[in-house]
Amino acid sequence: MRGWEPLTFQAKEGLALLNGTQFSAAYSVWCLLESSRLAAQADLNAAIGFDAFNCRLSPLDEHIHRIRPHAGQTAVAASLRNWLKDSAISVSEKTDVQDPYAFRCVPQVHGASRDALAHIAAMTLTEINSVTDNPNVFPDDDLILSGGNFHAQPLALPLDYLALALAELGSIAERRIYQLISGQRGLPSFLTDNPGLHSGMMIAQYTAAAIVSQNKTLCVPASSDSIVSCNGQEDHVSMAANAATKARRVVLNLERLLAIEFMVTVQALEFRRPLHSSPRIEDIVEAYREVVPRLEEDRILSVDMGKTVAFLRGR
Amino acid sequence: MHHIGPDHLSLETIDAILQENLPLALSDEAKRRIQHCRTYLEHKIQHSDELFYGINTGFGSLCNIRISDEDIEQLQHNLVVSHAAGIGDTVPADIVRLMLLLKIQSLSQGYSGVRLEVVERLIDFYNAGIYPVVFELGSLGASGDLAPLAHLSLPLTGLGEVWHDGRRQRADVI
Repeated sequence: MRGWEPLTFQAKEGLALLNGTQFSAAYSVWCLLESSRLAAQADLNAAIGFDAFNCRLSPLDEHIHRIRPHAGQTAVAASLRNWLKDSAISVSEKTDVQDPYAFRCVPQVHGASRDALAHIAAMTLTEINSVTDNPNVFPDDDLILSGGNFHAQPLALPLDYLALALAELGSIAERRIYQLISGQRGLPSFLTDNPGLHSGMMIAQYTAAAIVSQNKTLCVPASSDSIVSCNGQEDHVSMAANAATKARRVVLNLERLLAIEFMVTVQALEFRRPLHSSPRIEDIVEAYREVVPRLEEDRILSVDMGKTVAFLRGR
Repeated sequence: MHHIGPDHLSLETIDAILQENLPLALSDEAKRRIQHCRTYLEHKIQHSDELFYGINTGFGSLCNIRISDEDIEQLQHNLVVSHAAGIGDTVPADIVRLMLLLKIQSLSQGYSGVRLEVVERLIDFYNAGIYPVVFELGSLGASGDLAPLAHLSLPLTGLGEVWHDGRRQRADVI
């Protein structure tokens, strides 16, 4: 026992505690903190993917982003250039004139999600530093005013947007997985030395596709709904709470998707040997291989996926 | 130690509070604002015949029903228990912890009229790692997140359930 006497709420106190958007806001903060890590992971995956799929570096060139200077796009291009600095693979001869969008348009696609996250963060920050109960008491102005600061529309729209922005990072990641296992660019089908006897990474893409599909259903905007409540007094509601719990599921799904992509992409990269990627990327690959060895023969991929999630979370 | 005060709470600050397990405390300024607002509110209620929503009236569409002075505390109790209508999966403890932090931040600005001890009790729960059991389903995100916040508030009065020492327990036994 802590010696805490149970409180008896006095005038207005129960109401002040119950009004407010702290459930939706807490989810939004949690999702944003996770999202910044996941957005960085998506960039790293794509950078490794550039070398694994033997892509040209031209789509990352600063000239291109200077003439379409969205902040997210510019930052993602710079991030990928930075990851790929001094990669021997990236400066090796390229056979294809252009690469698929899942690689070539990473700055534009990842960048748009980053800009979305910046907007969602700005809305969330204003919200969590606000007073969201009702009525509001202004002692210095001798005012007690009834208003609507509890209405969570300023979180409902951003939380739906957050789900969409993260689902897109996952959607393009699954397309990169698909390209890498499809037997192109000198890579063996399903990234196994002996396709046929071994299925290699075949089913990893199924898992990724199942998650991407689930994310799409989770992107149906909760905020597009409203159901009249309280005898018509509350005749427009935001559904922010449903947007919030849904957004969290998309975050968790994205973490799993990016782990699968990382697992597949590292496997693909090693078919480029003796050439190497950048020192920064190769350091990470080496550390990862201490945890998850290269897939030589078929084994339980679920185990590798779980270890990959843990490895990336600990980085 | 993180002091709750008028300072803007940023994502970086929240991340540091969570990562470093910083305990919370109210700044002097936050205490002053909370008390100033409560003193004003109590004075106003005592010296006025006005109807103030949710203070001496019913809730929602019952807002035109006057509540007598002797029932004012009963009204608040009834509000919290009647609105604790959540159901479904329980909200993860790391999110409940954020709910506590954000509720403390909001009430500390001094426009809500609660007593200092209410905010301090929320801080006690946060610092002791005692997180109320909250359910995922039940909020329309309109009049606030009513049901989840009711479940967050129940344990302050000795009702409801909490997560403590990794177990789900009745609030009145912790």
